[in-house]
Order: sequence, then structure tokens, then C-alpha cells
Amino acid sequence: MTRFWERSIRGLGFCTLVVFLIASLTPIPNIIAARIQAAEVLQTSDAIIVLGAGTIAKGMLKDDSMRRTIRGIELYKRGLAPVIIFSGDERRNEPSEAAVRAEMARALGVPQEAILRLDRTRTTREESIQTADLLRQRNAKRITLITDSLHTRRAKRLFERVGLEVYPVYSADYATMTSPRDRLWLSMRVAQETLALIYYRLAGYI
Amino acid sequence: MDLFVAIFLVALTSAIAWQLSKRVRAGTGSLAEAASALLDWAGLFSLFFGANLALGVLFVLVVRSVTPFFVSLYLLDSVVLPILSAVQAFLLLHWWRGGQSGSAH
Repeated sequence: MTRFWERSIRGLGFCTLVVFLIASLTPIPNIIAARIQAAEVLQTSDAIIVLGAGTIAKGMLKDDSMRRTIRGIELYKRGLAPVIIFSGDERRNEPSEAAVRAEMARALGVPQEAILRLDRTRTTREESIQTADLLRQRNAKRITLITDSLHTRRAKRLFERVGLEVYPVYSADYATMTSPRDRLWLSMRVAQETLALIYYRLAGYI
Repeated sequence: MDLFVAIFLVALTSAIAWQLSKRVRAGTGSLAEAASALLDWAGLFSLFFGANLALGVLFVLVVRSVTPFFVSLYLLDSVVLPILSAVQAFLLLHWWRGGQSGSAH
């Protein structure tokens, strides 16, 4: 290895360790996360949309999916909207995420007629298009959009793009996490969401 | 709080390891050399991790555009990728160093 490469790799290693310390021990990821997320708007709407976050296996919801589902049911029970739409794709030979969430809502007392499902949504963009199609039939335009705080900006822009009036609500406010482990995770999510925003913008989706 | 616990535990086990190394005369190199090796490893890890991620994104986008299959970018959101990148960096670093020490003799 030449001296130049050795020094470059060592310099990169130093930068990596500095970034690691900043990401885990300082509030910088929290500040960036707070800037990325859209502001919460809690007011009545025509429908509550609970965005998908995936299942682990055999109908077990991922943590994020569970948080979003419970927040959606809670807001429905507070009377924020007359219907609740659960989104979430299906795995092979397993119930869709939307079906599992709908079942949970029924078990928790949400009437069957108030529950709608989007079973074939693989991306946030597909969720926005299919939600708009569904709500157009019901002449509904204002939605309460439930997702985690970091996802709200991208999701809000996508749903506005299909002509809906969007009131974002967080299922979890990640910008408030403070332990080193959580901050490290938050830093990775911030990087992920920033790249997703750039990709969606370059692709012309938002 | 968990930060202080972690620092305390690491400091304690490091002190024990240092004492034991002195007793069995295992530590013959300098700490500066060890720190340089850590920086080299961290640098190589970043390179490999970045390259693996970039290649993964490219792969997903190509599969999406030339086949009817949908592959999610969240496929790359895995704890396995950074661990394997760390292993890659470790092996390459020792391979290089082994080569250097071999040529020096």
C-alpha cells in the first residue's frame, strides 16, 4: 500500500470515529431529525391513513407498524375521522400487514364498516396513489396521515401531490430520543430518510 | 446513564487486560501503533460499507428497472451489512500488514 493510500485510509478512519462520536453523544442527530420532520396537525379529517411499516413473520407486525396501528385506532376512537384506512403489503402465503392491522382494530372495538384496507402497497408512493383512488370514490379530501416523525415530510409531499389535504400525526417522535444507542440509530434513520428524499425528488415523485 | 456504565466497564476490562498482558509479557507493541491500526480499520470499514451500500442500491434499481420484480431498498437496512463490512476491513487490513511485514524480513 502506498503512503498516500495509507494516510487517506487513516484519515477516513479518524473521520469515521469522529462522526460516530458526534452521532451517538451529541444532540446533532436530534436537531437534524427535528428539521426533517413535518409539523404535526391534530384536527378532524375525512379519513385516518395508517401507513405500512411491514411484518416480521406469520402476521406479526414490526414495532413501527404496531405503533402506527395503535395511534390510528386511538385517533379514530377520539373521533378524528369517520373511517380508518390500513395499508400494508402481503408476504407469500401470509396475511397482509393491512389485514392483520384491520383485525386488531376490530378486536379493539373499531366497527367493521369504518375499516378500509390497502393490501397491495409496497412503497409510500403506491400508498399515496391508492389512497387517493379510494378516497375519490368517497368524495373525501382531508386526511390524517399517521407515520413515524422522520417519514412525515416525504409522505406528506407525496399525498399532497395526489391532491389530498394532509394533516400529519406522528406514531413516534424520534427526534426526542437521547440515549447514545438511540441517537446512533436515529443518525442512521436520518441518513436513510435524507437519501430517500433526494431519490424521490430526483425521480420526480415529490 | 448507560453511557457512563459502558465507559466504566470498558475502562475496567481494559485495565485488567493491560495488567494481565504485562504479567504474561504479551503486549510488545506501542499503544500509538495500536491506535493507528484502529484508524486504518475504521477507514477501511467506511470504504467497504459505503461501497457495499452503493452497489446494493444500484442492484436494487437495476432489478426494478429491467425485471418485473419489486425489490425494496429496505433490503439494505440490515445489521448484517455493517458486520460483514467490518469483517472485510479486518481481513484486508491484516492481509496487507502481513504482506508488509513479510517483505520487511
